[in-house]
Amino acid sequence: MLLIRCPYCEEDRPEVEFRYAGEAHVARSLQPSAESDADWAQYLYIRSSPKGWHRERWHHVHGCGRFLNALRHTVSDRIAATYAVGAALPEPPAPAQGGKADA
Amino acid sequence: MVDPRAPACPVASLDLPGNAATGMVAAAYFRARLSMRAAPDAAGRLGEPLGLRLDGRTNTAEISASGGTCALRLGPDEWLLLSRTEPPDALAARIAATAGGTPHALVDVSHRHAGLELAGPAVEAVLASGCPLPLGIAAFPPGRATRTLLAKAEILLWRLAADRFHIDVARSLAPYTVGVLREAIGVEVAIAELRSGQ
Amino acid sequence: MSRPPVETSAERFRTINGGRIDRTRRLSFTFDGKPLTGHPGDTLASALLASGVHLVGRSFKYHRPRGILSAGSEEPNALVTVRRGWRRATPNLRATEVELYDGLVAESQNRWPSLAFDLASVNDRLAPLLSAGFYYKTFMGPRWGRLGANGAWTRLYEPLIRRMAGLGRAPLDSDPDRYATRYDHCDALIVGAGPAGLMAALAAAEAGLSVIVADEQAEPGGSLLAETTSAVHGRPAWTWLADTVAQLARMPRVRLLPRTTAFGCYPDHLIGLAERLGDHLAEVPKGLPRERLWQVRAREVVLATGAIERPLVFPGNDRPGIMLAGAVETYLERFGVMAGTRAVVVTACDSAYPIAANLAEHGIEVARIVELRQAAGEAARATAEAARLAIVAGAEVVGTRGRHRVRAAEIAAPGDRRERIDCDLVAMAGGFTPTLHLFSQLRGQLAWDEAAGTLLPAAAVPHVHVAGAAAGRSGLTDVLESGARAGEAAARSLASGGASQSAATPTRLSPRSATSAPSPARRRPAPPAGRAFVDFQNDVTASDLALATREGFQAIEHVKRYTTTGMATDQGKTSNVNALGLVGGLLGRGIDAVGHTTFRPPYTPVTFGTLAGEARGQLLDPIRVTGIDPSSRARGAVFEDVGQWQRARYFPRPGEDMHAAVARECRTVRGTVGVLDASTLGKIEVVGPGAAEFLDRLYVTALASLPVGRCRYAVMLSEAGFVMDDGIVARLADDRFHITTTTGGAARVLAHMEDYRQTEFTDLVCWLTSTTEQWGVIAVQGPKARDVLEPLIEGVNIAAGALPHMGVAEGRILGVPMRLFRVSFTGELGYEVNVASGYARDIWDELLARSEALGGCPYGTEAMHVLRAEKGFIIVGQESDGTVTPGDLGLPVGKAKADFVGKRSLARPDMVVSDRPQLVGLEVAEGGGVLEEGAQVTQHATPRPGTPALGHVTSAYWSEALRQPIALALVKGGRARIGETLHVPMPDGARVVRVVSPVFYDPLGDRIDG
Repeated sequence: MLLIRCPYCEEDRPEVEFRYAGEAHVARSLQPSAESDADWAQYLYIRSSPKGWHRERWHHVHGCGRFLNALRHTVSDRIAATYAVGAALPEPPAPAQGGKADA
Repeated sequence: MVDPRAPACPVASLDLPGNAATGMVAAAYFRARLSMRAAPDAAGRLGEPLGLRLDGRTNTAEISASGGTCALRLGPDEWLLLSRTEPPDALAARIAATAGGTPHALVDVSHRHAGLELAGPAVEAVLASGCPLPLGIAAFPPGRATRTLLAKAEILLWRLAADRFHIDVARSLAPYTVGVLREAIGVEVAIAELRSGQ
Repeated sequence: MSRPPVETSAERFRTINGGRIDRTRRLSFTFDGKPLTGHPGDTLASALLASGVHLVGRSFKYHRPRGILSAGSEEPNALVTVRRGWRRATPNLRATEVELYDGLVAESQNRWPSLAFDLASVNDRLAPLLSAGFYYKTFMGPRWGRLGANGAWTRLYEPLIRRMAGLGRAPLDSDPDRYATRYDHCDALIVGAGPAGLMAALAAAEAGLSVIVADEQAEPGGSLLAETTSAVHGRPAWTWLADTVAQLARMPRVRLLPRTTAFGCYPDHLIGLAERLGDHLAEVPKGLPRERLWQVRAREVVLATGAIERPLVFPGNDRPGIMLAGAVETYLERFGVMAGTRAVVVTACDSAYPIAANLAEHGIEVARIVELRQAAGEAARATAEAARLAIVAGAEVVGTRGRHRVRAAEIAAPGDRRERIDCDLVAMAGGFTPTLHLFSQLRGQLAWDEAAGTLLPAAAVPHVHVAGAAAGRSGLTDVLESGARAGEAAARSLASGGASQSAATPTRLSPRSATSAPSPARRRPAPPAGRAFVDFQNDVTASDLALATREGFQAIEHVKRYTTTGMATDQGKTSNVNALGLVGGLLGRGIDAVGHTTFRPPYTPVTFGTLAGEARGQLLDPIRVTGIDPSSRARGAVFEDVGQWQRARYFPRPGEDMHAAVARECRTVRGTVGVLDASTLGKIEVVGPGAAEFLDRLYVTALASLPVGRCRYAVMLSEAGFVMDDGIVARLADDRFHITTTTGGAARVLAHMEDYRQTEFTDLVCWLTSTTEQWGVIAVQGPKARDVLEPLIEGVNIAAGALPHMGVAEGRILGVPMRLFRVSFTGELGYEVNVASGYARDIWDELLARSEALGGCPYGTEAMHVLRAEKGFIIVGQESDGTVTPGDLGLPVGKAKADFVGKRSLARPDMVVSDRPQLVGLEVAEGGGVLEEGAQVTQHATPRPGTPALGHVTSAYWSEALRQPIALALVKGGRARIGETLHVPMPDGARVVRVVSPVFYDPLGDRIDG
C-alpha cells in the first residue's frame, strides 16, 4: 500500500484513501466539436503508458476529496512528487536515481 | 403529526459495545450538521456570525469561543459546521444573513451521518484495528479531524482528547461501523486478559 | 550388519539435563494417534525426536519417507496437520514451528493407509516416468469426444494426479476462529530478535526511536537459544538474552512481538506481520483471536533475519535422520534432544567441525566427518583433532541406506575407495544462505559473493539496514556489533531523512566466515548420479535440473517453472542456492551469471483467516439499510442486495409466492396506489452561481434553462459517449439543484462530477454535496397518490393542475420539512416524498397506513422493475452496459447544446452506424413464458454454430397489466425491425418473439395525471 502525499492535506496518507484517476494533463478540448475524429479518439483512448516516470492523477476520495497529480515510476512504484491541480510541474528525479528504479 | 425536533437516531437501536478497561462506544448527537463550501479566503467572513475564524489548516477542528459551534475543516474549501443545540436552518440563516454576495454553498446534512463517541484507555488500539492512519498523540493530536477509513467504511475521525474520539459515519454504515468497533474492543479485551493471565 | 530399527519410547533421546525446556512439567500429545510426551518449550519436532520419531511425512510426488531436516521455519519435509476439536484442522504446519501443548493432536500427511505403509509410494518406483516436465509429456490425449485433446486431461489425468499429489487436506468446515487486524506505525521495525536484532533494537530505542521487534519464534533470542558456551558482553549468552529482553520490555516505545512472522514487504515500507496468539495454548480463552495481521508502516527497517543452512546434494540425501548440522546442534542445546546415537557429518564448510566436536562431547558418536573439500580450514582440523574425530577429506557421499530412517552412508574416498558407514544420523553442512527474502522484496538487489559462497546485498536500499548473519556476518562478536551498528544507522537515517546509509552497504567477507562455502557449482561440475534431492518439498532432484538444461531451459526462472524447484510452500529456502549452483555448473557458467529467482511474499504461509481479519460474516462487507428498513422487515418483506444496500424486493402476504406478490403489487399500483422505499437513490446537491451551467455541461439533457420548481429526467454520459447514469435534476433555486442518481452509481457519479468541477470546468463556481443519506425517499405511485398525500401535507398545493408532472416544491408533511417531487417511474400519477432520514420511518408508516386505508399497499423493487419495463423505462446497468449510447436506448439528444460531456463522441463514425444495438420490446409468442435475461436474440430458431447473435434480452418479466410476458432487448438495428419475428434460443428450445416498441403500456402517457 503506497503512501501518497496529498498536496491539499499536506500530509502522507495511505493509498486506500485514494482512487487512481488516470494519466494527468490530458486536457479536454475547449471546443470538442472542432476536433477531428482522429484527434478525439486520441484524447479518449490513447495514453502514454510509459515504462518509467508517469504523471497521473489520484483522487483523495476518502480524505479531502481533491484530485491531485503524482509523478510515479511505473516500475519501482515510487512516487517522486505530488502536486496540486494547476501547480508547476515537478521534474522527475535525476536519471541516476531513475535508472536505479528501472533496474 | 411527527415531532420535527425528535428525529430517529440511527444508532438508537444498536447495541453499543464497551469495556471500561478498553473503550466504550456511545451515541453522540448533533442537532445540526451543515456542509459549508467556499473559497478559503472567503471563509473567515462566513464564519464571523458563528464566532469562527475558519482559518485553521485542513483536517483540524475549530470550536467557537462560546463553545456552541464547531467547524471541522475537511478540505481546502470545505467545512462541516456542527451544533449540538441549534437547528440547522437557524445556523444557516445566521450565515446567510451576513454572507452578502460571497459565493458559498450551505447544505443541511444533519441526518446524513450518525455520531459515535469512543472513549477509553485503548482507543488508539481499537481504532488502529481498521484505520490506517497513525493515531499516536503526536501524529493525531486532539483537535485533529479528518475523513478516513475504518475497515471498509468511510468515517470522519475527530480526536477530542487523548482518550476520546468522535466518529461520524454515514447513517447506513452505522451498524457496520459499530460492528467493527465491537469486534476490535472484543479483541483488545481478549488479548489483555491473555497477557494478564500470563 | 544392519541395526535393529530404533524403538520409539518415552523420550529415550532426551539428554539428562540442559536445554530451554521446562523439565518439571510433562506434556502429552499424539502423533498419528500414538501417545507421546514432551515438555513446555518443545516444538512438535523436538518432542518427536526426543521419542526417536524421525519418520514424520511422505513427500509430495514420490511419497518417499521423510523426516525432520531443520529446526526452523525453513523446514521443507516435516509438514503435519494439527487438529483441535472436531472443527479445527490446520494442514501443512511445519513441525519445527509448532509449539507443543498438552493434548496436541498431530497427524502426518500425504499417505494412505498409514505413514509407514503408504500405497502411493509406488510413485517412487515410477520415478523415471515422473521426471521434470512429466505433466507436459505424459498426459497428452487421447481425444475425448467433444472435449478434444484436453478432455483426457480434465476428465482423467488431472483428478488422478490431484488425488495422488499434494500436501495436507484443507478442512471443509468454515473456520470457527476469530482473527484480528491491526495497523501500526514505528520509527524502526526490527525483523528478527536474534543477537543482531536485539542489539539493533537496543541501539535504536536508546536513540529515542519507536521500535517494533518481530520474531517468528516463541521466544526472542534466535541463534542464542542454542548458544550455551559463548559469553556476550561478559555474561553467559542466556543471561545476556534474558537481561536484554527484560530491558527492552521496560522501554515504553519498544513493542516486542514474539510468534510474529514478517511475511512480506510492500511499497513505502508497509510490512505485513502475522502474529500467532492462540495456537500454542492448550486452552484457548474464548474470544482470543487465533492470529492477528499487523500492517506496520516503518520509517526504517532493520533486517536481522539470520541465515539458513543449506543441505548437501547427494544420492539418498532425503531419508529421515539426515538433517542440517546446525539443526542437530539446536535440538541438542536448546531442546536437550539427541537426534541420533551415531552420526556421519557431511560437510563442505568449517562450521560443521565445532558442531561435530560438540555432538561427540554430548555422547553422540561421530563415526566420520566426510569432508567434500580437499581439506578443511586449519582451525576446523584442529577442532576435529582435539576431539579425536576421524575425517575423510576429498570424499563424497554416493548413497544412503535405510527405509524409514537412515541406517548407513556410503562414501567414496579419494582413489574411489568405497566405504559403508553405519549410522542413524547424517548431519549436513552445506554453508549458510543469508535470509534476504524481505530485502529482495524491498527492492534490494542481490549479487553472488564468491568468497561467501552465497547471495548478498549488492547495494544499499534507503532506510533498509541489514544486520548479522543476514548481512553475511558470522561469529557472535561480529553479529552483535553489526546489529548495534544497524540500529545506530537507522537512527541516523531517520534523523537525516535517509541520507545515512552505512549498515546496508555490503562488506567483503573474510574467507573464515561461516557462510564461506564453496558453491555447489565449483565443487561439483556434474550433478550427482542417483536420486539426489535439491528441493525436498517438491521432490526435485539434481537429475531433473540436468534434464531441464538438456531440454534447453537456460534462464533460471524457466528452469524453476519447468522443474518446480523452489516453488513449494517453503519457497525453496533450503534449495534455491543449491539449484543455482547446479544449474550454473550444468551450463558451464558462474553462478553469478545464472542470476536468481524472485522472492515473493509470503515468507512462510499465512492463513486466509489472518488476511481476512474481521471481514467475514456480517462484517465481510458493509450491509447498508435505509431508515425505513425496520418497518419493511416488520412487514415480512423479502430483501435483495443492490450493491451494499439491502432493498425490500416484495412484500408477500400469507400464502403468496414471489410471483403472486409481485403481480398483486403491480395491480395495486396501477389500480389504486402503492408506496416504495426509494431512499437508496443517490442524491447530490449542487449549489453555486455556476451550478446551472455546470449541470448543463454534465448531462445530455438541457438544464441551464430548467425553471425553478421544475425537474427533468437527465442522462449522463461518459466522455466516450456511453450512458453512465440517469436520474432527476430538480431546480430548487437559481443556484441550487437537487439531483438523483442510480442507487449503484451514487459514488461514481459524484466522483465523475467532482473530476470535471475540479479539473475541467474550473471557470464555474459551484459545489457538490452528497445528500444520499440525508434524505429518505418514499415514492407514492398510482391513481390515488394525490388522495394519499393531500391531507398530510402543507405548504404545497397538489390539486390537479397545481403541481404539474415534473414539478418540485418544498413544504411540510406531518409537520416535517419535505421536498416533494412529482415524478413517475411507473407511468402512473406519482410523487416522491423526500424527508430528512431521521423522520423517514415515521412518515413511511403514516403514508402506508393512509395508502392501505385507500386500498393501496407497499411495493418492492421487483414490482418497480415490472412497472417501469411496461413503460419502456431503462435501468442503467441493465439496459445499458457501458457500450450503449443514448441513441441506442431511444433517448433524445438535444442538438441545440453546443457541448456536454460525451457529445463529441456521439458523432464518431462507430456511433452513428445504422446497425447499432437498439432498445426494442419483445413479445413472446403464446405459451413461451418469461424469457431469460441475458438470452441471445437470433434471426433463426437454430442458428448454425458461429452465427453472431443480433442482440440480447436485457429485461424480462411477466406483465400483470398486459397479462403476458414482456421483454426489453438490445437488437442490431432494432427500431427498423419492429414487426419482425425473431428467436430467442433457450436450453429447452428457441422462443419465437415479435419485435415491438419498448413502451408496452399506456403508450400515449395518459395515466400520468391520474
